[in-house]
Order: sequence, then C-alpha cells, then structure tokens
Amino acid sequence: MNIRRIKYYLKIGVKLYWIRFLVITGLLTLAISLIFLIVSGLKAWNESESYLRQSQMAVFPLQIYMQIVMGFIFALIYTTLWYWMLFKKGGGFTQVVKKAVGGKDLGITWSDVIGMDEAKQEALEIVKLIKDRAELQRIGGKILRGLLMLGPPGCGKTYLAKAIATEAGLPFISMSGSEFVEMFVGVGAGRVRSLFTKARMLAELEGGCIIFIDEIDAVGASRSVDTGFGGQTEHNTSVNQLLVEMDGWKEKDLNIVIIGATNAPMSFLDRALLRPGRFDRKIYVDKPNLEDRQKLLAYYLKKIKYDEQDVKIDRLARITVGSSPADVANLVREAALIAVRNKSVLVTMKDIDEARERITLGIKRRIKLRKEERLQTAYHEAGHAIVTYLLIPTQDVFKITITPRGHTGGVTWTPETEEIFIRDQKQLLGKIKTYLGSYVAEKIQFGITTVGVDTDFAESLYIAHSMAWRWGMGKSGIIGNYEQLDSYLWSSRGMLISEEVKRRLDEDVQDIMQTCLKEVTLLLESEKILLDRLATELVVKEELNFDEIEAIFKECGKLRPVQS
Amino acid sequence: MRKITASPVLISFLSCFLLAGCVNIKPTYTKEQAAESIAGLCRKEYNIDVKAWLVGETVWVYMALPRIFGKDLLIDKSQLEKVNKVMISSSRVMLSMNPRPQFVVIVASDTREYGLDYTFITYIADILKLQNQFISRDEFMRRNVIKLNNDHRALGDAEGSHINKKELDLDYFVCEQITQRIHQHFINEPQTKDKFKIDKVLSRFNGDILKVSYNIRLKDGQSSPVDILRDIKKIIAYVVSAYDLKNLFAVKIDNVLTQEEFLMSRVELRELLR
Repeated sequence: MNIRRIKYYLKIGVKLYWIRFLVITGLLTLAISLIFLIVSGLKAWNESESYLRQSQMAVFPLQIYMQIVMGFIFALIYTTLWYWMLFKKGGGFTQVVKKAVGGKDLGITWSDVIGMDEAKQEALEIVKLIKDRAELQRIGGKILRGLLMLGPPGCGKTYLAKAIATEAGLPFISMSGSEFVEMFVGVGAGRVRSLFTKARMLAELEGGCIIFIDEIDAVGASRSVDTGFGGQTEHNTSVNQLLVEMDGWKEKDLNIVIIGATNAPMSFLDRALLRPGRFDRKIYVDKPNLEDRQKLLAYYLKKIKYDEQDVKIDRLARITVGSSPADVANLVREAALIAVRNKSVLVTMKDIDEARERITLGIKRRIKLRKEERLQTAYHEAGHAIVTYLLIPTQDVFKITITPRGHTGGVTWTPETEEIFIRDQKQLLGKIKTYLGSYVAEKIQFGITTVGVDTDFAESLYIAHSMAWRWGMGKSGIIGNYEQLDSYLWSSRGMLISEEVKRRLDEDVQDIMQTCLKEVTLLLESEKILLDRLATELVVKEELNFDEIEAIFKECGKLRPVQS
Repeated sequence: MRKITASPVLISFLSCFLLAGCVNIKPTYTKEQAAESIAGLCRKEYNIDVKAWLVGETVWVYMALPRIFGKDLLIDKSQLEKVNKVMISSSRVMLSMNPRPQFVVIVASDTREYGLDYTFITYIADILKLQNQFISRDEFMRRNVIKLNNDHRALGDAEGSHINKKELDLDYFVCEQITQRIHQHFINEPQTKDKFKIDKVLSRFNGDILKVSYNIRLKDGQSSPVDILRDIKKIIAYVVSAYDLKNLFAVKIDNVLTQEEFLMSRVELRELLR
C-alpha cells in the first residue's frame, strides 16, 4: 500500500516538477563528478614527483593569467558582435539604420526645381505651414501631418521633397517603401516604429523632422485578408503601425511631416492613409508641359557646352512631348556623350537628334535583312507614314527606318506635336488607321501580308475594343463600361454581361476595325504612287529623316491636313 | 547597512592563484639517496634491475644486459628500449631532486656474447632544457655522449665492477661532445657521407685552452664538399656557446695531416656563429 502511494506521489511529482527534477539531477551529477575529479586529481598530485608538481605550479599562474586575458578578449568580441548585430547592422532587422541629413545640407532650393509650378506652389505652402507651425497652433489650426506626391516616374517627386526639406531647414530622413518589407512578420512594423522614434528624437532636438518615404505603395498598399501564407499579415501590420505613427495617440505632438511618393494610382494605397490627419495634402507631379520642358532643357543644356545657334530650345521642347524631367536630363547627357564620341567641341542639334533616336528607337541591330524583307519592311513602314501624314495632324512623321532596332525590323517614328490629355473618337480612329496602314500597304503591294503586323493589330484591336466595350463608341449604340463590370464579378451572383451584349459589342469592335480598314485601303490605293516612291526611297536610303519625308510628300503634291 | 564588495575577495583569490608559482615544493628525492632511488624506480616501474652509484656530482647506472648486440653487431631494439627506460627513470629522479648532481652515466654492458660497454652520458642541465623546451629532442640526442668500448671484463659482470666510476666534469663532457659531433658531421651527414676518412679526432683541455687535433682526409677520388677547418671551427664554437664555458681562454686547432695550427679566441668563436 505504502509502495503504491510512494509510486503515485512520485508519478505526480515527476509530472508536476519534471523541470525541477531535471535541473536537480543535472546539478547533482555535476557536483558528484566534480568531487570525483578533485579527489582523483589530488591523489595524482600527491603521487607525482616534485619536478612535475613544480612545473604545474609554475605554469598555473600563467594559465590563469592567460585565461583572464582571453576571457576579457572574448567578452569584448562577443559584446561587440552582439551589439553590432542587435543595434547596428539593421538593428537586428527591426531597427532603421538611415541617418538623417540636415535640411540645409541637401542644398536643393526652389530654383533647382524646374517647372511643375502647381506642385511647387503647393509645396511652398506646405513649407510655410511647417515653419509657421507655432503660429498655426496658437490660433488653433491643425498642423500638417503628411503630404502625398503622386505621378509618373522621373517627374521630380524626390527632388521636390528635398527642396521642401531644404526650405524648411529640417532634418530629412529618406527611406524607400521596400526597406520596410521583410519575410518576417513584425519586422516592417518594427522598422516603422524605429523610424518614427528616430524622427521624434530629431524633432525634439531640431524642432522638426521630415520623413520621406519613396515608393510608399510598397508599405502603404491597401490591407486585405491574409491568404494563409503570412505575407499579407506582415503587410497589414506594417500599414497599421504606419497609421498609428502618423495619427495615433502620442504623449507629445511633435513637428514631424511625412512625405510619401508613389507612381502607383492613389486607389492602390490604403484608404486610411489618405484620410485627413494623415496624408492631408496630395500633390500630383505630372510630366512637364511645353513651357516646363523649355525651362528644363535650358537648365540641363546650361551644364554642357552646346551650339546655341544650332540648338533651338523651343523646337526641342516641342519635339519632346511626353518626356519627364529625367528623360530630358538623359537626352542632354546622351547627346553630350555622342558629341564626345564624334570628337565635337560643342553639342549640336544633330547630336541631340541622334540621342533621341537612340533613346526612343533603341540601338541599331547588326542583322542584315534579305532584299525581299527590306522591300516588305519598306512598304510596311511607308503605309504607317502615309496614313499618319495624311490623317493625323497632331503627329509628325519624324523618321522612317528599315534598319532593325530593338525588337522591330523597322520603325516609323511619329512623335506627338502637342500634349493630348483627352482623346476623342476621331483621334482614336486615326490611331487605328495608322496601325492598319502597314497591313494595307503590304496587302496592296504583295497580295499577302507578314507577321510584322502583329503589334499593329494588337494595338489597334485594343483601341477598337475599348471604344466599344468601355467608351460607347460602337455602331450598335450600346453604351457603358463593360470591362469595369469584370471587377464586380466576385461580388455579383452571376454573370453581369449577357452573351447577346457581348456578341454585339464584339461585332462593334470588328465593325470599327473593318471601317478603318476600308478607309485606309481606299487611301493607300489612291496614293499608290506615293507609297511606291516612299518605299523605293526607303530601300535605297534605309532611313528617311523629317526633311526628306517632307520633300517626298511635297514632290507628290501632298500637304498635311490642317489641325482643327 | 554594511556594503559587501566582491573586489577584495576576488583580488585575494586571484593573488593566490597568481602566486601559486612561488610555492616551495619539497623535493621527492634527496641527493644522498639518488642511487637507491634510481634502482628502486627502475625495478618498481619497469622491472629492470640496475646498479647505481653516486660519485661526486655524477650518477653512474650500470645495467647488465646478456645480449645487447645482435649477430650483426647492431644494438637490439628491445635492449635499447630498456636503456631508454632507465634513462627516463634516472631523469625523473634527477629532476625531482634538489640539489641535483651534474651528470648521469648509463653503462649497458653485453655480459654474455661480446663484452661490450655501451655508455650514455647525459648532462642534467640538458635534460632540464629539453623538459622546458629550450632545445629540441634531436639536439638533446646530439648533446648526449655515446661511447661503445670493447671490454672483456664486462663478460659475466652483473655488478658493474669492471667500470671505472669516476666523477665527470663539464670540460670532459664538452671535449667528448666536440669529438663526437666532428665524427658525426664528417661521417653521417648526407653531404659528407662516404667522402672522408677520419684517422683521429681528439679534444682535450690544457689549462684554459681547448685543444682539438684532427686528421681528416678525403677518400681517394673524392672532392671536398665542405671546408673541413671551417666546419670544425663552427662545431667547436657552437658547443662552447651552448655550455657557456667561462674558463675557456682560447681554442687551439691542430691539423695533424698538414701540421698546421690555428688559435682562436672566444671573440672569434662568437663571430663564427653570426
């Protein structure tokens, strides 16, 4: 009975206190083995001869001394290593190692920000708000928290942010949104915390701080439910932390302004980020207009030696429609390189044109087309050129080439003469016709067509499809954006578009294509002489420049239609 | 409340450890009992019977080995092992003794077949240097003087009565070592092997002058790969510097073959080693 009870208590005891048992057993084993070792060591010591004992005693202090020294060295190494791992090297993942730059040290002033007057005006106001913060708080105004800069890449968002920091004279911490992203859940949130802790310290010291998060869509995209792999959870945690840091409960209200920049559409970002109190202001930094391009070209050309008689900035600005400031800078840089390669002292218009070609069309490929292929390509490109020249007044036929460049066998370069923000039906049809020009020209000349029409068909079909499915421009009279309906498919119970409507819309698409085809066929058949002339010239010269093209058209008695 | 600080305890503890090297340990053996201790240790640990005597500063150890040499007159390995064990025992006793004698001479005699004495002379300071790794084992072996004498009196002598147990001194040891090193250099070294014939090498002290006479000549048809005189000078210089002979005034080298004599001062010897 007693043994049973003992066994029972032992069983319970082991279950309850197994760690204690394990530790005590371990300690006892260590103590017993230590006693055993000491006893056997003493025995061996007593039995050993005096010389051996003396030798041991002689080296003993040295061993102790060396162990103490080595202990110190290792302690130092380990401490340094752990300190470095935990606090220095990315702070053990969650720390931010970015150093703040003094606003004045950035050295980018308003005068360095070319163009984008509206954005600059907005930014200037923001700087004023940052500077006059105390004044604002005194009258009870709400301080500015954040500023979101949207727009295409290379338009100067980062530059504008730097200018704001310089003008405000505050420390500037720049980070990329992707720097918050890691594979471990919680790291992104940790980095956000660390960033704001740093910013708060700087704000207390310097009276304010500007945090610039480039490509903020990487950290601020909309939150959603995790699919089970944890990635979304990590993202959600980072966004939540960002939201809290931007407008959460704080002991002190410090002068910290967050500037976010993204190329993504605003709808891509989390809605909570965009509400007032977080990103209060949104600035759209768009591509420069004609005037801005002139200023930009003047600014960048000032930095190089160029032929002022030859290079006309206003003309250059007109032919660089759609270029971002980065594109303009790249154009000037590339032109300078070409001038150096050509051993010229000054950059000329020829160098700039060559640079434009190189950037837009790509470098010439060293493949030799067969005679038939050259002829096919010449007719293909001539088709594009004639349709553009005679039907699209807003586009110049700037260059035609049958030299393979990039992935194409030939190119007709038709840059826009002015910015078009909203295209109408006529312009869209004109685009489709331009694309179909190549197909029709091949068909008229050879009776058969080539695979060269692949991209042309894809582009023209997409425009025609959009006209019918999205913009109500079909012959059937069906109106509505049917493509957008796809995005509601998940929330709907069944199909949102009937098969009948789809069929009719598809008929509309084909009707647009066929109508354009007929018109282009009629045009090119009637301009067969011009087509042959242009193609022949292309085969001979391989490349035709703006002036040569104009001359051929004039020679054939063709004038560009006047823009209405 | 009294503040307890760990530093005094720690400092005392560390001091004890660091001063441990200064502890005076009582020697295990005494000089008077050196002979008995060596014999006892050999018997107890290796089961080898030896006779030992302390003569002044020299310990003589005699071991009667019935068959130390094989038929080809080469030393039997197992017998050599025994000599080695006796050497270890003697070293242990010598090292664990204070004050220590200066030399250990082990005489292993072939008492049955040939009547040969194999003598092994070791300077105790050399054993200490080896133990403390000031010299290598090879160098230690080169420093030991090994002699092989034919003595018919050894036959049947189990007690070591035929050996002349005298006290050795450093001068004698150095002279013997120089002679041995010169022999080894001109006979066993790869570059001189089979090229020289040694008729005579003799070293002895004459007052404070060390006199080394030699008669070394090239064998017929051989060309000399070394400068004989220079090599001998170097050997002498090395040995003199190794034992730091304070009473040495000069070295006189006598080439018996050419009847040439060379006198070298200590300074010249030192220069040679540079």
